[in-house]
Amino acid sequence: MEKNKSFKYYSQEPESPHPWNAEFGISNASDRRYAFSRQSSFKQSMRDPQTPSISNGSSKPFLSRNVSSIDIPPGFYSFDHSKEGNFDAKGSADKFSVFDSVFWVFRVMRTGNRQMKRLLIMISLNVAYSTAELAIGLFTGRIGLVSDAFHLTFGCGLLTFSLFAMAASRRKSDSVYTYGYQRLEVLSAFTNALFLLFLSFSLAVEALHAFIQDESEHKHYLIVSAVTNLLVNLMGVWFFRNYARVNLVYRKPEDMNYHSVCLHVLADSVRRCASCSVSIYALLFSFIIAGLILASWFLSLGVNNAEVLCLGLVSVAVFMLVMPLFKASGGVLLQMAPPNISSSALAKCCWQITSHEDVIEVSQARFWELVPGHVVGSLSLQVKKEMDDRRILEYVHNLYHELGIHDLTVQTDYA
Amino acid sequence: MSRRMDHERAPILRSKDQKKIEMPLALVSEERNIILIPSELKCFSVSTSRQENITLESKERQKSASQLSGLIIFYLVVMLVEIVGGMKANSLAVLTDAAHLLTDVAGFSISLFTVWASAWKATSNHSFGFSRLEVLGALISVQLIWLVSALLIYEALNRLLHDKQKVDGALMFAIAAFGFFINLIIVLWLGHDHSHHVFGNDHHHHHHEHWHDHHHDEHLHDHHHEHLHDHHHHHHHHEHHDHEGGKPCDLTKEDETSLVISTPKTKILNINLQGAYLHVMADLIQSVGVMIAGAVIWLKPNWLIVDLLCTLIFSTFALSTTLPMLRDVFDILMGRTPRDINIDMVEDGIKGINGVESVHDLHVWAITVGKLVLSCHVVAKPGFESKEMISKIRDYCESTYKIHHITVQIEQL
Repeated sequence: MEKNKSFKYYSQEPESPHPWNAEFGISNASDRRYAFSRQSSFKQSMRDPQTPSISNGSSKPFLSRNVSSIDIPPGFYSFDHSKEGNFDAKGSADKFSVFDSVFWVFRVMRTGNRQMKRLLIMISLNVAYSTAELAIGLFTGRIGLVSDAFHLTFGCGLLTFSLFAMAASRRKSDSVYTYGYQRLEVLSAFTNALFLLFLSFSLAVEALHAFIQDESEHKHYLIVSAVTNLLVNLMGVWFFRNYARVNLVYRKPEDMNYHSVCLHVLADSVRRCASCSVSIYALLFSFIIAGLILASWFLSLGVNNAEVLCLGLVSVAVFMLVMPLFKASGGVLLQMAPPNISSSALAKCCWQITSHEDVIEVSQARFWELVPGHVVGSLSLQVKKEMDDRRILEYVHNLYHELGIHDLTVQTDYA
Repeated sequence: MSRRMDHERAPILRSKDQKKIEMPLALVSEERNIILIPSELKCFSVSTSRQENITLESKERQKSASQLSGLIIFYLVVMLVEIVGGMKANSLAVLTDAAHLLTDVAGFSISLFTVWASAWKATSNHSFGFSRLEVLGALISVQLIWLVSALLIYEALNRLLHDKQKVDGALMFAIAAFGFFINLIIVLWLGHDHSHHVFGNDHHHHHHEHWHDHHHDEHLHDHHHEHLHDHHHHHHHHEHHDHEGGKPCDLTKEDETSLVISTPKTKILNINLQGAYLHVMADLIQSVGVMIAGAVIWLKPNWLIVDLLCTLIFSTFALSTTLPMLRDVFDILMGRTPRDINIDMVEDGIKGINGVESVHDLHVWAITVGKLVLSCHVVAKPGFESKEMISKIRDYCESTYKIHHITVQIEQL
């Protein structure tokens, strides 16, 4: 189904149902949860520039498939393998010298898709900013600036990992990584989500700390840095605005990664506001998230506790923002059944197979998502008699093909 | 989707008959399997030697669980002692150490939870069972170590720049020494029989040793000669010759148990315990660093920068010890072919089986450290029975590479 998906995100293909329609009852066009609702140029930007240009006649899968060196013999459903030597994998993913990394940065700048370039811009801005902050902090002896610089650097490191994941995940699969490198995106999304969870816990601890100690250290000089950094973060949020939702349906592997970057930037900007909640500006910003109704109540409690409440609120908010992403990426990494395909659809397929005249039973049916959008499955069938398995195999493959599962291994045991 | 095991097992055992297994053994094992299969494993096909693996796994799990609970309790006690002592002495350093211990306890509880969870039955949503949880748990646990190290560095910087107060070197040294000894005890307790690599090549060699001893005289079977000649055109793994023919044929009970007992020796520190071990190890290294810094500051109270330097150096050192495990975790999560398996050799081995024309879409990956999964599409030469080919491939993979979950799609030309 990827071949149909590559050019039209939202128009329903007339000839075959959209694979994600397996989620019965959800209308695509008006579902605001889908990430690509508005940007018309998005599909151009999302197209992988590494892949050679495609004529509309040929059907080429958008995602780089796991290309094995041997093709499926003719007679099975047509299935395009493409061998692109553009981005050939280096020997192993472990070796990565400094020269390589510099070279690689240039390559990213030249060939990355739009999101990658944006991320690179953001990261470089953040790095420049944090070094400036660190320098100024060290010179003037303000510990607040230094600690801020450290937090920023930590976050930058994580964003760099995301960027690296985006770039490296386009490598073709090789003999070591037989499924390709796309899972790196899911991994980076998971790591980002984990970091954000830690952030929310640390904010909670900070709130507790502020509550116990009841000391409000007004760091006025931090406001300037906070505002500047907030602007950078907001720019980042604007770049990834399509992903600024809590519950997102992930259709492609990059979705998770972008979502995590967006949340990261969002959470960072919110945290920044909360931690220097001296100014009314910061309070207001945090309260926009909390709700205006609560704002007046908080103000009436006195400014003393405002910091505690702000931190506590932000901590809870970040936690709730990140949880869906954490669960989704964790689910992919845990080899869970694909959330896009409802279990009733899978059960229906199983039932259809079992009701085929030659099949006795189906066992060991396992489906898992390699990355969001790419489902791999394996089945074991008990077949009645020694007969032409090609027919049965084609039948089974077609059944699951309609659901969007293309990588299927079916083992037939004869009773 | 009914999953009656009998149906599935019957063809496998029948094809094994063709390999001249002694009938009594086959019958005995069939009955044993029917009675003893735990319901949680309905998803996976079970062979005779797997029975021992299953009971062994649960024993290993219990042992890990008990060790982890012991660790948690011990650390909680030490933490309480430190909190009380720190509040009495009004020392921030002791309290931060107690907080450090709290994160260790968190790491241990995550590992304990995953040990408990990996025994859950597989469901339709989690068709592979819950073993992957231990890998994710290990990842989270190691991330906690990283977080704590980052916090320590931050703290050290803070202390250096902000609180330019007199640091009591003697107290620092004393606390660090206390922590060091506690961690040392635990390291010795945990690590007295473990290997550094969870993915060892060690257990392969153990197998080879055993089978060399017991199966030198099995080449008398003609059938196996045929097999051996067919399977191995190149003699990279001459040890595997013994495996290949030997396993289905002469595997007496004694060999099985001794074979299976050899594996835990090298795998005893499974990934959960290894996460806990890394926590303790990182603690140990940090304590050494603090001890050194404390000693220096005791002698020369003005050299406060030593604190920061030591923290930096030893934190980096501690973090570098977590790298091998992180590499393993990433390998598993990325679906990488396990490091001790060369996929080209697997492909050649399968191609060498009688009746196999070509192999494609070969994937080998690990669910968790010990459990490997293989799936491939095999194009069969005309005239060969697919049932037999599948069982041969299965035996090859199980005996040579210890891959137990195999799905093979046979396509006729």
